[in-house]
Amino acid sequence: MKKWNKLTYPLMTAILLMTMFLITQMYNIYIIETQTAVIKEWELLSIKSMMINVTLLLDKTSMIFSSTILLISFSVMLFTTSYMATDQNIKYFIMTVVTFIASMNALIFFPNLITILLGWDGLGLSSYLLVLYYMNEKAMNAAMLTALTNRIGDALLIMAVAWTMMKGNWNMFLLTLQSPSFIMMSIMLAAMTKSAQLPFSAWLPAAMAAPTPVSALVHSSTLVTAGIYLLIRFFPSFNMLKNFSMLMMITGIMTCLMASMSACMENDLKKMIALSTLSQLGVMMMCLGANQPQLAFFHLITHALFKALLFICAGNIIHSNFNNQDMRMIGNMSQSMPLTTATLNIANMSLCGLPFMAGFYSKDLIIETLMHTNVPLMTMMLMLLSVSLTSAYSMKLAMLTLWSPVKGSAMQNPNDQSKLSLISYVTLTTGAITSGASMNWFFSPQLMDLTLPIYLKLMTITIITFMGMMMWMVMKYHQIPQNHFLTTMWFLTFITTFHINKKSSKLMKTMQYNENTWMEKISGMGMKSLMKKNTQLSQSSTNMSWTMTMTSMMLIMMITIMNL
Amino acid sequence: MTSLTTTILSHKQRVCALYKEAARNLQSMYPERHRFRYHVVLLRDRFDQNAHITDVREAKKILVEGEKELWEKHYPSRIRFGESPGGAAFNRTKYIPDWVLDTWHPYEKAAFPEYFARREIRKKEYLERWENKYGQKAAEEV
Repeated sequence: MKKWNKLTYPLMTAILLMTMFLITQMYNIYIIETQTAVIKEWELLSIKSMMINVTLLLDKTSMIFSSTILLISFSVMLFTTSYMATDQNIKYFIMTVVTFIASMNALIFFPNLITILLGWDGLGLSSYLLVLYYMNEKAMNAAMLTALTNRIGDALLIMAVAWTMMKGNWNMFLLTLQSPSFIMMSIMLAAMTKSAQLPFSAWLPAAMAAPTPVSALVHSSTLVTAGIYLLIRFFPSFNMLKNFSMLMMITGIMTCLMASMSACMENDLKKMIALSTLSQLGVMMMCLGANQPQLAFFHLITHALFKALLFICAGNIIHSNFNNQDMRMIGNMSQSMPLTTATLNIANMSLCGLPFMAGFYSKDLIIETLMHTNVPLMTMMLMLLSVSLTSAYSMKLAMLTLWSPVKGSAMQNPNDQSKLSLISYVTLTTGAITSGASMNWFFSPQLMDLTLPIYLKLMTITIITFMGMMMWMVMKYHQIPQNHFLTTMWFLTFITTFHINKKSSKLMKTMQYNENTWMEKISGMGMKSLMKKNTQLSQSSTNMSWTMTMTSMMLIMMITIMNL
Repeated sequence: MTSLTTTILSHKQRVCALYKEAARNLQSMYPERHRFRYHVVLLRDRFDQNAHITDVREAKKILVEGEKELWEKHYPSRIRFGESPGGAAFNRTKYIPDWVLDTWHPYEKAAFPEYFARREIRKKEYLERWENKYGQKAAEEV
């Protein structure tokens, strides 16, 4: 038998994913046309009034999300053929990515808390393995940070599963009725860890130690949106919680502001795109805060498409610049990689919300909805500032990598020669341009009609253009902006790594001390010595009082039993 | 500067180190070559203006001030090459060939007895398969 070429694995996987995408898409059209949803439920186990079921849900939301993931995975697999061509362990890599896609689909299609946990843990594990892939020091640190932060969410979800036992069913739709607030809070916190919202944000830029195809698939479009997806699914029950909207709104705005400000200061190409992902997640969170789950889902889909494209372009640039990720060493890509430049610009424009690109339909609608809702002025100003910074960091990215003079080595030869990457470019560019309009058509009956005065209508586009221009001026005539507070994500990287580790290691020492002394005395060793002492005591007939007590107890027990 | 100084440096060495570090700092601030050149020429000029000072106390004072200024103006993230220490791709792809396991010490192998026992069987089977397919090696090859 002829031995398979190393690149056969990603190619075969890509073909498989494309086939699955087409099947999903066909079913998707059927569901949208007929306005139906299919729910299948199998009972695995029934203990008293508790039922452990496997539920399969095929509705519009799950089908659209799944087909988007399959399309992005297909493109990423094609990109892998060129990016990982010289890699030794490509088979292992492909297997882990496929595990990830399977877990994601399990999370999407099975709306049962136990099966969601299965997909959720699968996501955590596979993302840990993928971040760890390169096995250098940076990757190991990042993987540990990613795994531990996601583990908080896993633990909370497990607690939610345990608490939900009281309701006798783990089905998502039955949970919505009068769920206690602590269950909903734990699910919300779990979603926040997965979506890297503010106290848990440090892992996302660190996870950029993973190979770029992983960043394109996992850390931009799918894994991080899993949290948002969970919130969208559980939204009816969240809505009953007091102050939920306010909490979501504040978290979203703070995350968005922090991420976009940090992205303006970042010089690492991949980290900057990761921070821009974080800011868009903040936008989705804000949208949930404004009671618009459909709109958040709309932005989730469009964002996934153009951000995957952005990452693939960035990956190609990094690959042809000798693995240099620092934008200060990448320059003049518009001349040497024109195709990548064009697609990167399209993705960037879509991200900024240029009219009639994908991002415009979702993001503009979100901002207008937020203006329409009853939010305080300060909140609105912060929201506008954080959203407008998108164009600032996009401009910085383009200025540093695409339109600057040559800054790299004279030996390198960046080019657009990968044929298979071309297919992924075309696929995702089509998505980044048309998905907004097409999704708008799907969702338009459910979205609210907005009537705004002309100055509010034009405000978004004006401030976005203004911020872009300002960054252009700064980059053109001044040094690259840098600030220690903003580079470290408001010191979050220090707080969530060094400080927590320091505190927890101290706690561990105390616990270890207690474990060896008090705990040992109370449990194992102490019990053993007590038993030994008692046995000796009962065996010795010299101690009359002990024998008397035991005899009287036996008598009382016998009398009680006889009376029954 | 960036590393722990373990030797006594002369005044001249400290000035040269300060200049080099300041120039590297400018490189991080101004990545374009022409802007970096412009600013580094201005920096060189500042150093040259004080080159003639013979009073050691004054020269030392200026040096300390310069080092303080560099600390205050230092750029938080320095340029690092991708595959150099501190870079994003440093020490990234490690390919560990299978025969490395044969070089383990018996004590190390004793930590995984089942695996290594299975490995010996596999090696034997592999050799048998190879000999069946290609025939035994000639005596001179061995």
